[in-house]
Amino acid sequence: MNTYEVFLRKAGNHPFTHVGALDAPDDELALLLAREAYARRGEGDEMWVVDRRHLLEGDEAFLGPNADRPHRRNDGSVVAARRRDRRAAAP
Amino acid sequence: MTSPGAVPGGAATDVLLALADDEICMGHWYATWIGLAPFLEEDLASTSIGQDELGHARALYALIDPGLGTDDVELDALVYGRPPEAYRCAWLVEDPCPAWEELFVRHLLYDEAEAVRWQSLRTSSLPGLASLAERALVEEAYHSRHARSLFGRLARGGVDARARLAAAFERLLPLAIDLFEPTEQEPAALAAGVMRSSSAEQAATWRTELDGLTRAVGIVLPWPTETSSASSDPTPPRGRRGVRSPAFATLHAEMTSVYALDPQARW
Repeated sequence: MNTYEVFLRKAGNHPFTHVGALDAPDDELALLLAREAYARRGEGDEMWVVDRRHLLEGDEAFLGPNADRPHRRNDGSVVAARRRDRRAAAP
Repeated sequence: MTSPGAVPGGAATDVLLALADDEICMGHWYATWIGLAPFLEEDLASTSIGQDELGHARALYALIDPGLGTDDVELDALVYGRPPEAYRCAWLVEDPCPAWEELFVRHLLYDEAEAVRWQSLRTSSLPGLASLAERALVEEAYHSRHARSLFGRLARGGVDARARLAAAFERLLPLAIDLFEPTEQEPAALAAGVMRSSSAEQAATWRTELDGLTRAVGIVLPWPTETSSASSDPTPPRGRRGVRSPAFATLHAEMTSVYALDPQARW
């Protein structure tokens, strides 16, 4: 058995979303079994089933350094505070 | 258009009952395996298929008497209130299903037959049957694809899997040929356009498909040999002509046990 990851997408302006995983003996059966395991109630209009071995993985050690980059997370609060200060200081 | 009552001698009703009774019994056996299939994903897939079969059964029963299509109590009475001799299912679907490979091989044999059978009903003259056949064929495409894929996988799966498949074919094939036993008045049903090809023609197509499928993985199906010449010793009547197999009594009692508690109940 191989493990497969399943993604579904609703019609319209929606992205594919990961919905879960399943075990199947081959690709064809993975597709057939994923249909009933994850989409039997019409949860999606399109489906991707991906053999986990084909996924390119970035682990925590690889992504970790980017968690420590507060200067890249600009939510506008610094600029907003400065504008507020300027307004308050205006004659 | 032909209504079931307009076809002489209940010929159309027999055709509908043969289909519907097959479907409901198959649905029953799938249901007995809920939660017990060899792995979770297959459990979900096969019970979904069983649910489809029960849906087809309901739709077919409703065509027998269009007047009670929407009345659940009357429909229940038609389905579960009949004595065993009023059923028209094939012996294949009456037989117990003690091992999963028996459910699986039955699924393969049955859904291959269904594909042929529904095809012959796509242009049926009976109101509602042609559109039901179209709808069923869409669902059948999944059933057949599932059965064929898993069959191919199991047949290539090693000694144990092949031995189990072979034993199940050995036991079930003699029962499965009865899926194409003609109903009592098939000529009348054919003449009225209820079905567009005879059981014999359908059986031949089914057999060719199955032989192709199995030969591809090196399995030779143990078809039962003809035992007699048709003229001197006609085939004894079986499921389609109202004769129930010994296994049916148990199945019938179980299938109707909830209905029998309160036939007037609305669920």
